[in-house]
Amino acid sequence: MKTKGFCLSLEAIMSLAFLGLLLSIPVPENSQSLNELHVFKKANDLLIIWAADFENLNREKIIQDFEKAFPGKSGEIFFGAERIVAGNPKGEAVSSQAVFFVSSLERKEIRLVVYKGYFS
Amino acid sequence: MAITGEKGFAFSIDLALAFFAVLLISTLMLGHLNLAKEKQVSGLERLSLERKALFLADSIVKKRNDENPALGSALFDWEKHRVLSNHLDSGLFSKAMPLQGEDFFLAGLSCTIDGEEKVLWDLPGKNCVSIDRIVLVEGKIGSVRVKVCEN
Repeated sequence: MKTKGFCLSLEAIMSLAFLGLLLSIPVPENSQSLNELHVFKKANDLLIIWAADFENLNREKIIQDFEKAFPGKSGEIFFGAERIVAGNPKGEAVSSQAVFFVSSLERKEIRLVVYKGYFS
Repeated sequence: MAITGEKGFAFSIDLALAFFAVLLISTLMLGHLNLAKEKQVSGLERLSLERKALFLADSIVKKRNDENPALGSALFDWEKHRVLSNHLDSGLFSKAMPLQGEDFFLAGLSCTIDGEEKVLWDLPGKNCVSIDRIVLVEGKIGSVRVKVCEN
Protein backbone atom coordinates (compact mmCIF):
# COMPACT_ATOMS: atom_id res chain seq x y z
CA MET A 1 0.00 0.00 0.00
CA LYS A 2 1.54 3.29 -1.09
CA THR A 3 -0.99 5.69 0.46
CA LYS A 4 0.74 8.46 2.45
CA GLY A 5 -0.08 8.27 6.11
CA PHE A 6 0.70 9.99 9.36
CA CYS A 7 2.45 7.86 11.91
CA LEU A 8 2.87 8.56 15.59
CA SER A 9 5.45 6.90 17.72
CA LEU A 10 4.53 5.17 20.96
CA GLU A 11 5.93 8.15 22.92
CA ALA A 12 3.75 10.62 21.01
CA ILE A 13 0.65 8.47 21.48
CA MET A 14 1.38 8.23 25.19
CA SER A 15 1.95 11.99 25.41
CA LEU A 16 -1.37 12.70 23.67
CA ALA A 17 -3.16 10.17 25.87
CA PHE A 18 -1.68 11.81 28.95
CA LEU A 19 -2.75 15.23 27.65
CA GLY A 20 -6.30 13.95 27.15
CA LEU A 21 -6.27 12.50 30.65
CA LEU A 22 -5.07 15.78 32.11
CA LEU A 23 -7.77 17.76 30.32
CA SER A 24 -10.44 15.38 31.58
CA ILE A 25 -9.52 15.91 35.26
CA PRO A 26 -11.93 18.47 36.71
CA VAL A 27 -10.73 21.20 39.04
CA PRO A 28 -11.98 20.15 42.50
CA GLU A 29 -14.77 22.33 43.80
CA ASN A 30 -14.24 23.82 47.20
CA SER A 31 -16.87 22.09 49.26
CA GLN A 32 -15.70 23.37 52.63
CA SER A 33 -18.52 25.14 54.38
CA LEU A 34 -19.72 25.72 57.91
CA ASN A 35 -23.32 25.06 56.91
CA GLU A 36 -23.53 21.86 58.96
CA LEU A 37 -22.11 23.63 62.02
CA HIS A 38 -24.69 26.39 61.51
CA VAL A 39 -27.54 23.84 61.39
CA PHE A 40 -26.09 22.11 64.46
CA LYS A 41 -25.95 25.40 66.40
CA LYS A 42 -29.52 26.27 65.39
CA ALA A 43 -30.65 22.80 66.51
CA ASN A 44 -28.92 23.40 69.86
CA ASP A 45 -30.67 26.81 70.14
CA LEU A 46 -34.02 25.10 69.69
CA LEU A 47 -33.16 22.40 72.26
CA ILE A 48 -32.13 25.06 74.83
CA ILE A 49 -35.42 26.92 74.27
CA TRP A 50 -37.47 23.72 74.53
CA ALA A 51 -35.63 22.62 77.66
CA ALA A 52 -36.31 25.99 79.32
CA ASP A 53 -40.03 25.68 78.62
CA PHE A 54 -40.33 21.92 78.95
CA GLU A 55 -43.50 21.99 81.11
CA ASN A 56 -45.50 23.71 78.33
CA LEU A 57 -44.04 21.69 75.49
CA ASN A 58 -46.38 19.67 73.29
CA ARG A 59 -46.41 18.08 69.84
CA GLU A 60 -48.00 21.05 68.05
CA LYS A 61 -45.60 23.56 69.59
CA ILE A 62 -42.61 21.38 68.72
CA ILE A 63 -43.64 21.10 65.05
CA GLN A 64 -44.47 24.83 64.89
CA ASP A 65 -41.09 25.81 66.38
CA PHE A 66 -39.21 23.40 64.13
CA GLU A 67 -40.85 24.81 61.00
CA LYS A 68 -40.03 28.36 62.14
CA ALA A 69 -36.41 27.48 62.80
CA PHE A 70 -35.84 25.27 59.75
CA PRO A 71 -38.28 26.35 57.04
CA GLY A 72 -38.45 23.85 54.20
CA LYS A 73 -36.39 21.25 56.07
CA SER A 74 -37.47 17.87 57.39
CA GLY A 75 -36.77 16.57 60.85
CA GLU A 76 -37.40 14.09 63.60
CA ILE A 77 -37.82 14.98 67.25
CA PHE A 78 -37.56 12.31 69.94
CA PHE A 79 -39.44 13.79 72.86
CA GLY A 80 -39.57 11.28 75.72
CA ALA A 81 -41.06 8.12 74.24
CA GLU A 82 -42.68 10.04 71.42
CA ARG A 83 -41.27 10.40 67.89
CA ILE A 84 -42.44 13.53 66.12
CA VAL A 85 -41.86 13.81 62.39
CA ALA A 86 -41.81 17.03 60.37
CA GLY A 87 -41.79 16.80 56.59
CA ASN A 88 -40.23 13.83 54.85
CA PRO A 89 -37.10 12.79 56.75
CA LYS A 90 -34.57 10.96 54.62
CA GLY A 91 -30.92 11.24 53.63
CA GLU A 92 -28.06 12.92 55.46
CA ALA A 93 -28.85 14.62 58.75
CA VAL A 94 -27.44 16.66 61.61
CA SER A 95 -28.40 15.40 65.04
CA SER A 96 -28.26 16.94 68.50
CA GLN A 97 -29.43 15.80 71.92
CA ALA A 98 -30.20 17.67 75.13
CA VAL A 99 -30.21 16.02 78.54
CA PHE A 100 -31.54 18.13 81.40
CA PHE A 101 -33.34 18.05 84.75
CA VAL A 102 -36.76 19.60 85.26
CA SER A 103 -37.84 21.32 88.51
CA SER A 104 -38.76 17.93 90.06
CA LEU A 105 -35.16 16.82 89.31
CA GLU A 106 -36.44 14.27 86.84
CA ARG A 107 -34.02 13.54 83.99
CA LYS A 108 -35.38 14.41 80.54
CA GLU A 109 -34.06 14.03 77.03
CA ILE A 110 -34.90 15.59 73.70
CA ARG A 111 -33.19 14.61 70.47
CA LEU A 112 -33.51 16.67 67.33
CA VAL A 113 -32.52 15.39 63.89
CA VAL A 114 -32.47 17.88 61.02
CA TYR A 115 -32.35 16.41 57.52
CA LYS A 116 -30.62 18.15 54.65
CA GLY A 117 -33.39 17.30 52.18
CA TYR A 118 -36.43 19.44 51.55
CA PHE A 119 -40.10 18.54 51.73
CA SER A 120 -41.02 16.13 48.95
CA MET B 1 24.82 20.19 -1.03
CA ALA B 2 27.99 19.20 0.71
CA ILE B 3 27.91 16.08 2.74
CA THR B 4 30.02 16.22 5.84
CA GLY B 5 30.81 13.62 8.40
CA GLU B 6 29.64 15.80 11.30
CA LYS B 7 26.82 14.47 13.39
CA GLY B 8 23.69 16.66 13.48
CA PHE B 9 20.43 16.82 15.34
CA ALA B 10 17.37 15.98 13.30
CA PHE B 11 13.83 16.93 14.26
CA SER B 12 11.14 14.68 13.00
CA ILE B 13 7.43 15.69 12.96
CA ASP B 14 6.92 12.97 15.49
CA LEU B 15 9.52 14.38 17.88
CA ALA B 16 8.24 17.93 17.38
CA LEU B 17 4.68 16.81 18.19
CA ALA B 18 5.84 15.02 21.33
CA PHE B 19 7.81 18.13 22.34
CA PHE B 20 4.78 20.41 21.91
CA ALA B 21 2.55 17.90 23.67
CA VAL B 22 4.89 17.90 26.68
CA LEU B 23 5.02 21.71 26.57
CA LEU B 24 1.23 21.92 26.43
CA ILE B 25 0.89 19.38 29.25
CA SER B 26 3.27 21.38 31.44
CA THR B 27 1.41 24.64 30.69
CA LEU B 28 -1.98 23.05 31.36
CA MET B 29 -0.70 21.42 34.53
CA LEU B 30 0.53 24.74 35.86
CA GLY B 31 -2.74 26.44 34.86
CA HIS B 32 -4.70 23.67 36.51
CA LEU B 33 -2.70 23.97 39.73
CA ASN B 34 -3.08 27.75 39.71
CA LEU B 35 -6.85 27.49 39.24
CA ALA B 36 -7.12 24.94 42.05
CA LYS B 37 -5.02 27.20 44.31
CA GLU B 38 -7.20 30.25 43.56
CA LYS B 39 -10.35 28.26 44.34
CA GLN B 40 -8.84 27.05 47.61
CA VAL B 41 -7.82 30.57 48.61
CA SER B 42 -11.24 32.08 47.86
CA GLY B 43 -12.88 29.12 49.63
CA LEU B 44 -10.73 29.64 52.72
CA GLU B 45 -11.50 33.38 52.77
CA ARG B 46 -15.23 32.57 52.60
CA LEU B 47 -14.81 29.95 55.35
CA SER B 48 -13.03 32.48 57.54
CA LEU B 49 -15.86 35.00 57.07
CA GLU B 50 -18.47 32.32 57.82
CA ARG B 51 -16.57 31.45 61.00
CA LYS B 52 -16.56 35.09 62.12
CA ALA B 53 -20.29 35.45 61.42
CA LEU B 54 -20.98 32.22 63.32
CA PHE B 55 -18.92 33.26 66.35
CA LEU B 56 -20.42 36.76 66.38
CA ALA B 57 -23.96 35.34 66.26
CA ASP B 58 -22.96 32.91 69.03
CA SER B 59 -21.70 35.78 71.15
CA ILE B 60 -24.92 37.80 70.66
CA VAL B 61 -27.22 34.99 71.80
CA LYS B 62 -25.03 33.54 74.57
CA LYS B 63 -23.31 36.54 76.16
CA ARG B 64 -24.24 39.92 77.53
CA ASN B 65 -22.28 43.09 76.90
CA ASP B 66 -23.94 46.28 78.17
CA GLU B 67 -21.34 48.53 76.52
CA ASN B 68 -21.61 46.95 73.09
CA PRO B 69 -24.79 44.86 72.67
CA ALA B 70 -23.58 43.71 69.22
CA LEU B 71 -21.21 41.45 71.19
CA GLY B 72 -23.84 40.11 73.56
CA SER B 73 -27.53 40.75 74.08
CA ALA B 74 -28.65 37.81 76.18
CA LEU B 75 -30.89 38.29 79.22
CA PHE B 76 -29.26 38.31 82.64
CA ASP B 77 -30.96 36.42 85.46
CA TRP B 78 -30.21 38.52 88.56
CA GLU B 79 -31.51 35.80 90.91
CA LYS B 80 -29.26 33.10 89.50
CA HIS B 81 -26.44 35.54 88.68
CA ARG B 82 -25.99 34.16 85.20
CA VAL B 83 -26.75 34.89 81.58
CA LEU B 84 -29.71 33.07 80.07
CA SER B 85 -28.52 31.51 76.84
CA ASN B 86 -30.73 32.12 73.79
CA HIS B 87 -33.03 34.48 75.71
CA LEU B 88 -32.68 37.83 73.95
CA ASP B 89 -32.95 41.11 75.85
CA SER B 90 -34.82 43.06 73.15
CA GLY B 91 -34.20 46.39 74.89
CA LEU B 92 -30.45 45.87 74.98
CA PHE B 93 -30.39 44.36 71.48
CA SER B 94 -32.04 47.44 69.96
CA LYS B 95 -29.09 49.53 71.24
CA ALA B 96 -26.53 47.52 69.25
CA MET B 97 -24.12 49.52 67.09
CA PRO B 98 -22.18 48.46 63.96
CA LEU B 99 -18.87 46.72 64.63
CA GLN B 100 -15.62 47.02 62.72
CA GLY B 101 -13.08 44.18 62.71
CA GLU B 102 -9.62 43.96 61.13
CA ASP B 103 -10.79 42.47 57.86
CA PHE B 104 -14.56 42.37 58.27
CA PHE B 105 -17.45 44.47 59.55
CA LEU B 106 -20.88 43.77 60.97
CA ALA B 107 -22.98 44.92 58.01
CA GLY B 108 -26.40 43.98 59.28
CA LEU B 109 -28.32 42.99 62.36
CA SER B 110 -32.00 42.16 62.61
CA CYS B 111 -34.48 40.28 64.75
CA THR B 112 -37.59 38.46 63.53
CA ILE B 113 -40.53 37.71 65.83
CA ASP B 114 -43.87 36.37 64.56
CA GLY B 115 -42.74 36.87 60.97
CA GLU B 116 -42.07 40.58 61.58
CA GLU B 117 -38.46 41.56 60.96
CA LYS B 118 -37.00 44.46 62.91
CA VAL B 119 -33.89 45.61 61.07
CA LEU B 120 -31.40 47.58 63.17
CA TRP B 121 -29.21 48.32 60.17
CA ASP B 122 -28.36 46.76 56.83
CA LEU B 123 -25.28 48.08 55.04
CA PRO B 124 -24.05 47.02 51.60
CA GLY B 125 -20.75 45.15 51.36
CA LYS B 126 -18.80 42.61 49.37
CA ASN B 127 -18.73 38.83 49.89
CA CYS B 128 -21.29 38.98 52.68
CA VAL B 129 -22.30 36.05 54.88
CA SER B 130 -25.63 35.97 56.69
CA ILE B 131 -26.26 33.71 59.68
CA ASP B 132 -29.44 33.33 61.72
CA ARG B 133 -29.84 31.96 65.24
CA ILE B 134 -32.95 30.95 67.16
CA VAL B 135 -33.81 32.94 70.28
CA LEU B 136 -36.62 33.45 72.74
CA VAL B 137 -37.80 37.07 72.84
CA GLU B 138 -40.38 38.03 75.46
CA GLY B 139 -41.67 34.45 75.56
CA LYS B 140 -41.91 34.13 71.78
CA ILE B 141 -39.64 32.16 69.51
CA GLY B 142 -37.79 34.29 66.98
CA SER B 143 -34.51 34.62 65.17
CA VAL B 144 -31.53 36.96 65.10
CA ARG B 145 -29.83 37.53 61.75
CA VAL B 146 -26.20 38.61 61.57
CA LYS B 147 -24.68 39.84 58.29
CA VAL B 148 -20.89 40.04 58.07
CA CYS B 149 -19.03 41.44 55.04
CA GLU B 150 -15.39 41.77 53.98
CA ASN B 151 -13.74 45.16 54.38
